[in-house]
Amino acid sequence: MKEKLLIFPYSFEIVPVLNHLYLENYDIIGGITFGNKDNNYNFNKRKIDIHQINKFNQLLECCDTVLICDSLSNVDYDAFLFPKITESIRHKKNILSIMDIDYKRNDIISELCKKYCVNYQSLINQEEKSYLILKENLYRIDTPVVFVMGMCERTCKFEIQLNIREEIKRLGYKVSQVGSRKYCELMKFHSFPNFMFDKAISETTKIISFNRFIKEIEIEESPDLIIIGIPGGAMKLNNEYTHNFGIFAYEVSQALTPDFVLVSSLYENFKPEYFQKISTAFKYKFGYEVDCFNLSNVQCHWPNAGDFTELEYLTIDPNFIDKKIKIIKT
Amino acid sequence: MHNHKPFIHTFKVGGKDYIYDVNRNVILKGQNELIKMLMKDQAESENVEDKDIFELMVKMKNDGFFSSNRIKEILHPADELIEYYLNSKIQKITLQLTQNCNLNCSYCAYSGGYYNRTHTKSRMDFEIAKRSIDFLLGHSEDNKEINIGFYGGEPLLEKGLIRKCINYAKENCFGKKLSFTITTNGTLLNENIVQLFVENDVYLVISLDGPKEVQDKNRKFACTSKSTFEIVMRNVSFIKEKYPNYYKNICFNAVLDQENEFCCIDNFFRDFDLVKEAMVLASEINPNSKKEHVKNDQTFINNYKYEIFKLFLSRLGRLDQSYVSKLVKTYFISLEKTFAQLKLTEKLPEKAHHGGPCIPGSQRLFIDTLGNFYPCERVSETSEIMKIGNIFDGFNYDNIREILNIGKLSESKCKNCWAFRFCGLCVAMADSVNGLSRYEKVSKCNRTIKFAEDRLKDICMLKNLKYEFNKFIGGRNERKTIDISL
Repeated sequence: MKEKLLIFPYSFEIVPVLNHLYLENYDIIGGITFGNKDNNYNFNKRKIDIHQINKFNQLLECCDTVLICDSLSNVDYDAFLFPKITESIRHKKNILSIMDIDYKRNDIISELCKKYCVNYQSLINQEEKSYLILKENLYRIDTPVVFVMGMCERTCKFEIQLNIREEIKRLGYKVSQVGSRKYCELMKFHSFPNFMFDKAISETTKIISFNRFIKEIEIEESPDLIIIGIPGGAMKLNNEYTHNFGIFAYEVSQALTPDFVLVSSLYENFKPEYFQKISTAFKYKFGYEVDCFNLSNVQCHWPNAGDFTELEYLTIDPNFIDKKIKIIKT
Repeated sequence: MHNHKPFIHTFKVGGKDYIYDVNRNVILKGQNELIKMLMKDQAESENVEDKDIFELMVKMKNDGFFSSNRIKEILHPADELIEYYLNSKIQKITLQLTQNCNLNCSYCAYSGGYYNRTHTKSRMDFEIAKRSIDFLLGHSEDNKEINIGFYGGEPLLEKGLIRKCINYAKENCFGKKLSFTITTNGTLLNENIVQLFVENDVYLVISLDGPKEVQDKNRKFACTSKSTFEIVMRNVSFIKEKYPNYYKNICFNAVLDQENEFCCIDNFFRDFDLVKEAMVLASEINPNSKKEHVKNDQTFINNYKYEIFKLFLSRLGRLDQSYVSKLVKTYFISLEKTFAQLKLTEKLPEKAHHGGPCIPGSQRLFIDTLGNFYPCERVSETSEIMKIGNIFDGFNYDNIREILNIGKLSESKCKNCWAFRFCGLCVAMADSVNGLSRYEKVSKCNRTIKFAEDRLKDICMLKNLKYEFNKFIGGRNERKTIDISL
């Protein structure tokens, strides 16, 4: 018998996962959002029932397991998420987590789950891969490689990666994939490897290791195509918002050369010249031009942007973007 | 007719020439000869004697400087996305809990001295307040923080409603930081309400103009001749004694009436025990929609400017900041904002809007006692154009777009104005109560342009003296003072 699964919190971030993931052991009974449920419903292709937070207890009673999701940064973890996780455990619900929870809180959740005799499983990739590097050479990757990159955070990269995967597989090709999130094993492919986030490893070693990581996948999986989703942004937005300076994009681009590059951008009322300029910037920064752009349905909220403020975002209806792309094309 | 002259503005600071290039949005240290050349016709400038200057000008023109390019259409960049801003990015609502007030201040916008509503007995029903809070919660998904402001009349006439609103908002707001603000005359503060504010960290803004003679001159009770100053001070003293930590968060809002002495007000906020540690925001008497002209006093202005001079000295490390008036400190914030705006651009875009307007409804949606929406609390409630919707039917996007694109009222003038990017005019300055008025708006242009030029001049002067704007480097040897030679 299938377990009943509650999605918490349901947000923009979890939508691609739910749109593309088939959980064979679970029936999704609904999702709980902190926001206005109508806003997220537009993107929700599987038409999962979304409820506002005041229905949390009611839905909790009806489920067996709660899927704790990576949420957008505008939800305060300590004040709103953690108390609901512990409440779920006290109501004897199993916990599945695709949220990258720190060690301290992870231990608290584990202990509490033991106490209440419920299961706790974190789906975050914990594998610590390393390679013996005798010489700092790069291996040639013979399989065609697709890069999916974002100009910055929040550009819907993951949805794009999953769509490409689905479409290529539908055409009958064998796909190997490294995704930009930390729980891609859930979707049956590789997460971006943990050594790339390790501050104790030199940048050179990361580049060499990433090259070998892909070579290893190529040898072991013999794919027709390798899709690589690169976390974060490709370059700084400006001097105020530097987005890790596109370090991951640079390192991956040093490790291997792509055959096709898709770059997703936040929405602005761009002119076609903008895309040409970005492609040129990629050519000189990374060594390749951009083959395809995606315009995401998120915009920087410029009125609040400035020194010492976190970048805020505005969500736009995807239909608006579709119309805009048609205008740009004509 | 196309204007071929370079779109620049020239000014002098300390005898040196400067050029503000509108297209490239940058200030250039100019040379007198170069400026003269730029102002001449093309044919004339080719015959100049100084070939070096001529070559420099040609090179810079090739790099996009001194372009005559103008904006083609006045259109706010948020125009095409306004529905989305108001669907998920409302950041603050201000609730008009009552239109009644226990004071009758001479310069209050509701005292009869303005083309605006006057004080009435209209009160906000809790149902309206609940719907307003629900509206905020349902239209703020893209925010990490939201704020609810309590406003009046005098909001403390509705203490019970404030308590109910705070509780309701806390019970129904999840996933984001919720904060509260109240703007009050401070006469009705009591132990119970202060305790509620302390418990909920309500940001308390008290209107206080200065010492007793200044405060009592304009801020008077409607029904008695008691001193408002004494009552406000008694209440503030209570807060300071009982809740010393909360007291540090109180902000005083002083309306500067130039009929008073600047030094008298300044000394009060600097030395008076109950207010000297608190933050003070100073503003002028609002001239918009005022029936009588606001008088200016030269001595007052001179004293104000002298304090600005001292403010600069303190920023340059030549004067301890304790000597600088609190009433002028916000001027530096406007300078820093202007400096941050000076970012090199390729050229002016084809479509743009001058600085000034906020995104109506997104930044500080004001909701009156009956549930009508206004862009903020500073606009006239009797003006039809200012009504941007209501709690029952939602937003009126026609009015919102007209307010957002207020620059269209004076399109040709704005397109040719060098201070386009630094303008501060919004719909509140263009309202004749009978509708939006080009005349009302344009009558404020000279002052706005002068203010923009003053800020650019001050920035150049401070940069000349090696002042570094917006720079906290975080180094261990962060310099506390900067050497200058005057």
